[in-house]
Amino acid sequence: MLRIEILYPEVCNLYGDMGNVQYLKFCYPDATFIETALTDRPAFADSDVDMIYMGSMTERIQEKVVDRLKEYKEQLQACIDKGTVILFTGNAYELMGQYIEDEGRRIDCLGFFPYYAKREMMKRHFSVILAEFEGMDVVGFKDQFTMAYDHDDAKAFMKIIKGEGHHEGAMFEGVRYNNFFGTYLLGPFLIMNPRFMKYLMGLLGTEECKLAYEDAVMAAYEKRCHEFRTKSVIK
Amino acid sequence: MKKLRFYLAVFVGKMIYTIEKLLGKNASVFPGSMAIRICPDVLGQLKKPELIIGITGTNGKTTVTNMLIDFYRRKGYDVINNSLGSNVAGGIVTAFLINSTFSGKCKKNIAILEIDEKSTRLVCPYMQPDWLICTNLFRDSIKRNAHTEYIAGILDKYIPKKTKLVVNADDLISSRLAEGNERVYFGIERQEYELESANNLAKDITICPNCDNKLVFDYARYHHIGRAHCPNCDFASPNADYLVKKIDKEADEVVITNPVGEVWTFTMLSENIVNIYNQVACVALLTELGFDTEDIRTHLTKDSIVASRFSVVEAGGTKIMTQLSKGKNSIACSRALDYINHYKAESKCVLVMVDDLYEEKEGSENTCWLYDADFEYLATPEVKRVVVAGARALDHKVRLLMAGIPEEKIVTVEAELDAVDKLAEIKGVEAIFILHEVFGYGRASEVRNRLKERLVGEHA
Repeated sequence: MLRIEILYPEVCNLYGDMGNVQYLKFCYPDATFIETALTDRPAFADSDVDMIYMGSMTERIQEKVVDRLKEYKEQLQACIDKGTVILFTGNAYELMGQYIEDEGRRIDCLGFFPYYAKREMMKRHFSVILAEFEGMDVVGFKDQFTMAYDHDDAKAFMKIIKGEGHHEGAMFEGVRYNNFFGTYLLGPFLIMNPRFMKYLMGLLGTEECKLAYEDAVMAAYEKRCHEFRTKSVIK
Repeated sequence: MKKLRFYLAVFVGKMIYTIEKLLGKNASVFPGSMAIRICPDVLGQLKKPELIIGITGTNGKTTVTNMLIDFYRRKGYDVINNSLGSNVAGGIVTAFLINSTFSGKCKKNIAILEIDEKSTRLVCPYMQPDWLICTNLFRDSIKRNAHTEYIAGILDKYIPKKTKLVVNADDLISSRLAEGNERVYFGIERQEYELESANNLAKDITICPNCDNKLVFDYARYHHIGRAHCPNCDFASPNADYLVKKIDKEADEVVITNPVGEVWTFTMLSENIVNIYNQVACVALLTELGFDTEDIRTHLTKDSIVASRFSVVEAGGTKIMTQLSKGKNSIACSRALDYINHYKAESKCVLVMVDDLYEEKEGSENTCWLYDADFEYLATPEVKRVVVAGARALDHKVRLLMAGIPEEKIVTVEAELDAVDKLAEIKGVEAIFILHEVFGYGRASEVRNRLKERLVGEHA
């Protein structure tokens, strides 16, 4: 039976990101979902989990989460190395990089990947993107105070077709390494991207991937892909 | 030179206002914005009235502003206000400009201003409200407002030290704003039906701000509204100075206690609990300003809650209600959905038409908020059909399915007017609800009027 760990859902739940967890529950009604609170010891630290998810949070909470996860850095590294499926959306993904620069202040992150993020609280970036991952269209929303720099593009998650990647003008978005997926795209990412969801289910060992509400989800996805292809993407 | 710029700004602002008005425009933001462009501290240099009341917060600020303006008008005061205008910096400057002489002298004694939370940054350095009501703080538009800590951070930084606050004791976010400032708290006592946890998806404060432990709710009204304490340290909700002790729907009354324990009875201005918060916030402020209960009873009235937010018409035995449900604001939307859920009727139909047409025209609306909004409230046997209209109808359909609404009850249409047929198809429905976004009241009334014609025709 699958064990799926949701990190800090009491605080990492902004921008509709919890829709991903709801959808995972519909697609895997028999799986065990472990909801780990900020004051708890994560399940991945002591036992095997099949998947780890973490969503968007406030800037203050980012620092708390980094502090907590630093204690379990080795175990998290081990999960990445052995191919545990990990999905971090929105600014959760920043925490896997080197640091966040905030008006001259440096917030050290977990340092798994080479990128860093630059934060400007008075400059909110919002856009939509259309990208490609393993031949699939990926669509999503960005709404953020930060941009990320210095990526190793060999480990990029997706290639931009339309919209902005790591930062303005970047051709790639996010990080994919083994089965770790990190992206600035936020909200119901898995619901908006049923083809990627099936891919993820494949990684989790599901042989016949039947999505929850598949027809409705696919119809919404195809309409959005078409719109993003044909309309302006920067609002 | 500095004075010259100021006079020029006042002159140009007033001229633009006059011209725009002659052209039949709303003229609420542009005159002020131009004046700011000519003289950035124009608001600072304009003479101020004796009393400035500001109203901010995520939800309810427009209603509270209208209630207070109407109160003062009925008392015979002439009030500077932006109720027909805009709550951003340009709108506030316009409100002052049109009530000033060309030399910048103020023509009225009182200003009551709705202030957008983020605009306090641009407004408060130049205009210090004597009193500021903050109705509540919730997650709002992702694009403009990010999250409550971001908004609270801006308010903390820009609320002037001398401003006295009227804040919601049942909201652990807004009640802690500008912690050094003097304040009074309003609140509503726990109701019989309220439990220890709210079933809402979005909760903007869940952990103790001091020690990160999960807060324990003594009771939860909706979302993070309620009373909570930390099991690990002494952090807890503050006590309300003005407390609604009893909501008596049968007698149409609310009972409020004041800080010295006196018990007052007022006519209930609206059954909707969010409006009861608005009412007690006004009672708190007006009492602090020295008005007696008789004055408040007479001049704080129902008519201030405007029809563009909620309206009811009767159509051949069916009630058709329009409800503002600010698209992209998951909390306002959830409040509207909760109202439908609790509305007593054997059969209900719902039309959701909350798409942002502007965003759709320019690109594609960010629909993340759907997953913070409680569409689960519609998954009841009484709800016979949910029609979703607009470009984002397919996204809504997925959300409604996930909320547990059976597929056969969901109908999607692109054009909003096509919803009329789909709603009229279900016969003998007791109540039909039309949820629309801020700029959608005109379109919603059009749907409602056509639907009314159909239902009345069929009934005759």
